[in-house]
Amino acid sequence: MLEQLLEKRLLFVTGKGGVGKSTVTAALARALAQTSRRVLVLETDTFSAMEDLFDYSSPGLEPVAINEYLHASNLTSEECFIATLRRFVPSERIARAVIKNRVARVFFKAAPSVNEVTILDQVRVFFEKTDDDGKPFYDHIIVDLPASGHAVTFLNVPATMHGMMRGIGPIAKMSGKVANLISDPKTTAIVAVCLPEEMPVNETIELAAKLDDELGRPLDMAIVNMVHQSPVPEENRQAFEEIHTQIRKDYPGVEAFFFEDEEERSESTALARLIAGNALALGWFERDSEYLQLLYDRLDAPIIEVPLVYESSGVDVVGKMARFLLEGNPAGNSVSDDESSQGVPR
Amino acid sequence: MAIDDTKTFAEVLDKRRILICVGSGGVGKTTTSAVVGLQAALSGKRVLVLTIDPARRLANSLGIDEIGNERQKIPLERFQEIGLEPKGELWAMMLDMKESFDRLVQRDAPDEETRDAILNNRFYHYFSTSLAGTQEYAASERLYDLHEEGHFDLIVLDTPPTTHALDFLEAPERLADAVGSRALQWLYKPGVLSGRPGRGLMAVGTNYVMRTLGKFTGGELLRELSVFLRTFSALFDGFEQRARAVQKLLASDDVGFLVVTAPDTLTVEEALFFHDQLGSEALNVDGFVVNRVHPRWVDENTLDRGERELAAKLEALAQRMDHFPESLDFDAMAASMVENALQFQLRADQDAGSVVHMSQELPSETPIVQVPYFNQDIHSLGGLDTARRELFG
Repeated sequence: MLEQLLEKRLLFVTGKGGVGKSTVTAALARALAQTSRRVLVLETDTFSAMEDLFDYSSPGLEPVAINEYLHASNLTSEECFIATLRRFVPSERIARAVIKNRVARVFFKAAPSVNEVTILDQVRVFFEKTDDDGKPFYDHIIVDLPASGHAVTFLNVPATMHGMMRGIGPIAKMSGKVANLISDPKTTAIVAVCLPEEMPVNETIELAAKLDDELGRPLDMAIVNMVHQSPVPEENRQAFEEIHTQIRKDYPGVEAFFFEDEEERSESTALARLIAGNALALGWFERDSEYLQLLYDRLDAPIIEVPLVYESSGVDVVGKMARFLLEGNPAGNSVSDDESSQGVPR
Repeated sequence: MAIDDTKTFAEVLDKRRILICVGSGGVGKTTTSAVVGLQAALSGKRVLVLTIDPARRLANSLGIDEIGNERQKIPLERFQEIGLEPKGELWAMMLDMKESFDRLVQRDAPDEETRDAILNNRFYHYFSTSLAGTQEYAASERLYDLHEEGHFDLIVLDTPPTTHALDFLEAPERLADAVGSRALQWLYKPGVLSGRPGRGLMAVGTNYVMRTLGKFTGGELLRELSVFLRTFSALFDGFEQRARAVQKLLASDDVGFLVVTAPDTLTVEEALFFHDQLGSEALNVDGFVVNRVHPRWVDENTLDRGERELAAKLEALAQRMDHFPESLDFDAMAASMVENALQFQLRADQDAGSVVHMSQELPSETPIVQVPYFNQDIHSLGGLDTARRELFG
């Protein structure tokens, strides 16, 4: 499933809040690391989700090794700023003193997009890092983009900056380098995470169009998270629906039973509740299929459907999802069978 | 659906003039705002739902084509079509933050020259759209204007998704801080950026800092930014006064906050964090709305007793049906239904655990209302009304 991404050294993962973007990012990183590639996951100035998902703690800029192949770091804008500034002043101590100055702080707040540029430049620094033989140190760098705001705006900052400053001055030069890196589809992939629901699917379609318009590059992959599987095998579908119709006749408003206190629930409604519950799940599956179809119709990029994972700990969810990304889900039924997972329209 | 809390929750609507929905992204804030607005309109109020979300779906669900910058009344026929008879009125409006901020500049600029200098500055676009707090500030100003105008009995505000609930509330102060701080006043002084040495220790330090920043950004950018900020500071007096008035309003008993959340662990922690932030500012938190709660279908002992018994019941049920499905393997069907129930039980238990956790963390008088996870997106006023009945009983 991940073939398209193996060639790309720099991966930007984007998605709105609540779609499980960080979980998918973590799983993608784990999956790539399991193929013996050295992977670095970067978060951008946020409450770290990776600390939970990888069960580690980020001390600052310097990446931490989660295992032999997997590394992670949370890039705070302040640390990135200091790292960039460090190149212009004699010592780190002075860089820290500069950033503490009140006038400087006001400047950081008001100056357009300085944070984004310094964060993205730090990504570039890791990208260009080499080992003793001069080979790239990290095989893959995966950036978990901020959930709020638009990914295109964020990724477009370096190009805008470069243009605005007419290419003059250190920030402009730095921005130019980063902009080139982002727009190069050979090196860089942009991956969108969404849910199989109306708004996230439409936003993903819009994102692909905007990437094309504004950055002149494609969306490389959409990962649809939390896809419901059909609760009923196709051959029993009609029979199940007839039984559900009968249950609704026998017990009008059966769905309300779900919310009765457990002790008030009557034995006699157990089967009704079980059937209504499965009907609810069938509804989720149908809704998901409808929006997945929309995505397949409108998106010209490979699509991976990640089935809903039932685990309570973040680490376990990531592990299961990573396994799915590597091996597919031969045991899964309907939606995530091999064919549809390869991005072939259903 | 927390039975005892729905009544308390409905009462909330009666005592406030403004309800502000806060929460992280993707939790159904916009829909919740519309549902709350609908409830109040049905009970006789003239309600405005103020959204920042250009989602066409909300417009559709309200039965109109588009929600624009101008307030728009939801036609009575839309309600009648689904058998509702509102005693009040429901209005909707989308807040265009950029436009709101432009208005503010137009209002507060001391003269035309300053106004044009600001609006045409190449930094203004960034300033009005990207600087943390500007959009939220513009939104809170519009809210204040609409409230002062007094046309509506209730305004329901759908806030932008943020990691910090208070971004919206602190925006006026933060903005005032950014453009009005003494440090910045210093930056406005002519000569500072030309590197001419200032007087005193602090000035020397700052001169060094500015020279360093100049090296880093290129001197031109810094100079232009300084000119922009100096022009912009002409607006500052207006900002400061307004910011104080807005904050006073938000802290008054006219205003209540609803925290909207989803039941997963991470989002719940964020919601509780919002609650603490709101509480520490002594703001009125009127309730929690937990969307997308997975229900428990059956209880443990039913599942324990096993699939054989359920299969037998299933068969008995099928016998009574007009179209008895032929050649159905009742055992297999019961088995797969039970397996599904067990899987979703994990989700349901997790969600229920989240709600219990919330009720332990929150003061007992704070209502927590749960909305089940629908398998249909809300596309119509009818859908909105279904959600409303879930929310208000």
